[in-house]
Amino acid sequence: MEEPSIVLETQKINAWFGKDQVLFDVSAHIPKNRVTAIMGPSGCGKTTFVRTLNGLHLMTPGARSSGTVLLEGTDTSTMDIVDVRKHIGMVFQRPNPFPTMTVYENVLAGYRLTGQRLAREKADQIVETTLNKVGLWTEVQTKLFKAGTSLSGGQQQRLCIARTIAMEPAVVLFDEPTSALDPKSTAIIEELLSDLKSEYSILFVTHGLQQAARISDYVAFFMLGELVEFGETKRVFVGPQDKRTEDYLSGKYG
Amino acid sequence: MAVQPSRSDRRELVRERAFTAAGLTAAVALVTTIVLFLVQLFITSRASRAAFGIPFLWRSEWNPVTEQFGALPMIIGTLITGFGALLISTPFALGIAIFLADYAGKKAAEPVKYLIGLLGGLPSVIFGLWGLFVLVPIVSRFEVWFGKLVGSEALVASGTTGVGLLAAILLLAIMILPFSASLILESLLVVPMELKEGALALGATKWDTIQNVELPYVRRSMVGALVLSLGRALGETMAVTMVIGNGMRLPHSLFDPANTLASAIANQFLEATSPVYIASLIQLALILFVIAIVINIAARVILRRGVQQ
Amino acid sequence: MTARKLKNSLMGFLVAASAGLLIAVLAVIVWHIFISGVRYLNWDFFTKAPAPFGESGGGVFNAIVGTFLITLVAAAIGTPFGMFAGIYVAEHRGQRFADIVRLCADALQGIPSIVIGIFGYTFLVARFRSYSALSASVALAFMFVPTTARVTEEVLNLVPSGLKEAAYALGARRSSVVWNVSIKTAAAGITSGLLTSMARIAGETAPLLFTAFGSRYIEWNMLRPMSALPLQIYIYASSPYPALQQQAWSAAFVLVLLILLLQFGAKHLIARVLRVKA
Repeated sequence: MEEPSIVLETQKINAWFGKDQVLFDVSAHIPKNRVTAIMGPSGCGKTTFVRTLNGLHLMTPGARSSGTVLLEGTDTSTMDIVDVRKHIGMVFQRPNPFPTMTVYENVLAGYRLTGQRLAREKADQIVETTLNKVGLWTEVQTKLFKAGTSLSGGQQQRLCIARTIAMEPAVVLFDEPTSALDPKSTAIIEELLSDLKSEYSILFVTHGLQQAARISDYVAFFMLGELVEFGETKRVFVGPQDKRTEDYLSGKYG
Repeated sequence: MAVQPSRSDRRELVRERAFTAAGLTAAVALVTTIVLFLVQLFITSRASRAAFGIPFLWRSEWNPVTEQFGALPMIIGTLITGFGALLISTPFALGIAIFLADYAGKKAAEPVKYLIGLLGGLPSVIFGLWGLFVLVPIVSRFEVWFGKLVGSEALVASGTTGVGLLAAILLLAIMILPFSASLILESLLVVPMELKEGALALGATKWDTIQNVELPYVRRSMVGALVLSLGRALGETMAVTMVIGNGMRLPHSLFDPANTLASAIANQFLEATSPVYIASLIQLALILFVIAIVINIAARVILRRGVQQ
Repeated sequence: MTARKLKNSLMGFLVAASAGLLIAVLAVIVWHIFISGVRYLNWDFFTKAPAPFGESGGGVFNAIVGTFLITLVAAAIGTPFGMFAGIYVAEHRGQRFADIVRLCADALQGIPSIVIGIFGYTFLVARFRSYSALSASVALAFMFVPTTARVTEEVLNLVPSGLKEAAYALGARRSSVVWNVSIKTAAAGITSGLLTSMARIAGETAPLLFTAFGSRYIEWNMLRPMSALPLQIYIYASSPYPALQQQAWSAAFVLVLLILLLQFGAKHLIARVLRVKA
């Protein structure tokens, strides 16, 4: 596998909730068109890390952050945060389709919420191709105009993925997207990732070692707010360079 | 990655700014309203302050004919009816709240809560109507009976109308009952289940638990609830106006006709013709406004601290 | 031990009795309104203006029209202010100015209705030298705004933060998130709050005394004096004529019915909100 180019670079990211610092000088290079797993024990700052990338962290009252995020070479602090979010999509822990919208409307929610109007044919086409990409088209073809919340949990989560990639982002952040799902739905989503990475660069937060090993090309290991180790998944799992990573992989932290 | 702003982006930005401006405007308007009330009432009551100054507050004469005005009878009337009503209704409000929080099951509590909401939602004028035609005759009969009991011929003679302080107090007590009951209930519902269960596990009876665990726990928010109810009672207008009798003098007994600040305004404002009379009534409104604001803010502060504990 | 148990039973009885007393009082009041109200109801009562002085019959159609017009216009004036203030407080939770706005809304809710009436008189009626239904609506709007603001804020706080975050993550701006996600999700709750507030102002008398003033005629012009049900009840109840006092009871019956209808609508909507959430 040839060395991929870098889609996202972070330089010395620090983050706080009130007086508590939760991230310490996190610098990382996220490769393009790869799945990068963000792993570590609970409370290690992995979710906060991805939330600093699209500015959601700052929406929590009392939250602060510092440092630089470069999106394909552009400093995101020079961009309108709204544009940053159009390029860095996010899928959340719990499936959260908009309850007031149909399946169809949920796929197009990003366009609607950002005030972009689409011609009918263009809209139909986006809905079909996107739902196909997440393997949902055949399942929901007849339910397009039912409420998004009427689908099963796993389908809802794939609908949320569809809603995110419909905006054609460069990067998609997944924040433990399978932790609220059953094993079968989890498997479907994990398989999906290998298809999606040809078009998008993926950051995938997980606290499951097995899951990280299964799905990722690269892995970033966080502990107590620090990025302890970053590298190709195979390399890190076989021969971790940091003592803390080794301890974690061998189960010493639980 | 720099993106040219498209037409839809610009439209969104305009909408965003309009939205922010609207929110801020409404918020500022709401705060300004209080200042506006204060200034408006202060300016239009000038003539009264010019004539009577600060002693207006404790002058006991209210005489439209000689144009001598003092607020004392109304202030006294307001305090007596307000505190009297609170005194009567509080034990019942507390009882109802405890019943709903600890005794009634969900099936019994829901309809009772609904009825409390219903009683609380009835307009003041409806209570006034009922008070005037149902409660006042009863009070009147009670006055005659009481007069005979204590051997006061004056009471037997004068008290036959039934309108006056007592009728107002009783009617107010009924009116604030649903209000204070639901406020107290709200505070009781935040008592943690573990606290109650802990006491019960030690062998305490249900009432022991309520008396020694639950009530001390909500003491502060209960005070807040009662202060809010008092504020409600002091400002209540129509019902009191209809049964208190529009008495201009300082009341000497509970059976006397009297006035509260609110009822004096409601009863007399349309009849007031001279500038000093009108200004004095507005001055009463200003006093009532200040009392209401102070009581409400105090109650909210007490309640908020109660929650924080 | 037995003394404690006795006390326990006694107190249990007393708290149940106070709940019983409340129900009894409510029953008595409702009973009187129903019995005395229904007795004099007839078709004319709903469709005719008051009979000329000295004649019997007539109705309160003028007051029904007035109540609807004054309440609706007050709600129309108050809704945008109240909703935007509520949105502001909900969107700036934890900030000092938002706390002040909330405190002011609470304080405004505690302003006695007669003070609002006097304010309406000095601010509008005296300035424009005319009693008018519009000045009554403005006065009532001052009562409508703070309740609407509080209800809007409370309902918006119930919108799951996950939904808002999802919308932000898609690149939506705050206005879009509030309109297209929060308000839509909370629509039933907000509507229910608006209906409850309307039920409250529809029953107010004191703010109308010196603003709407009352009228014996069926009036549609908001710039002229107008009657309303609560006002009519007060005027008839204070009159010495039994025929008018009877009409006061019937008008009270109609008013209570109207308010119950609004509250029922509100409760129904709330039930729907809870179902959606579950």
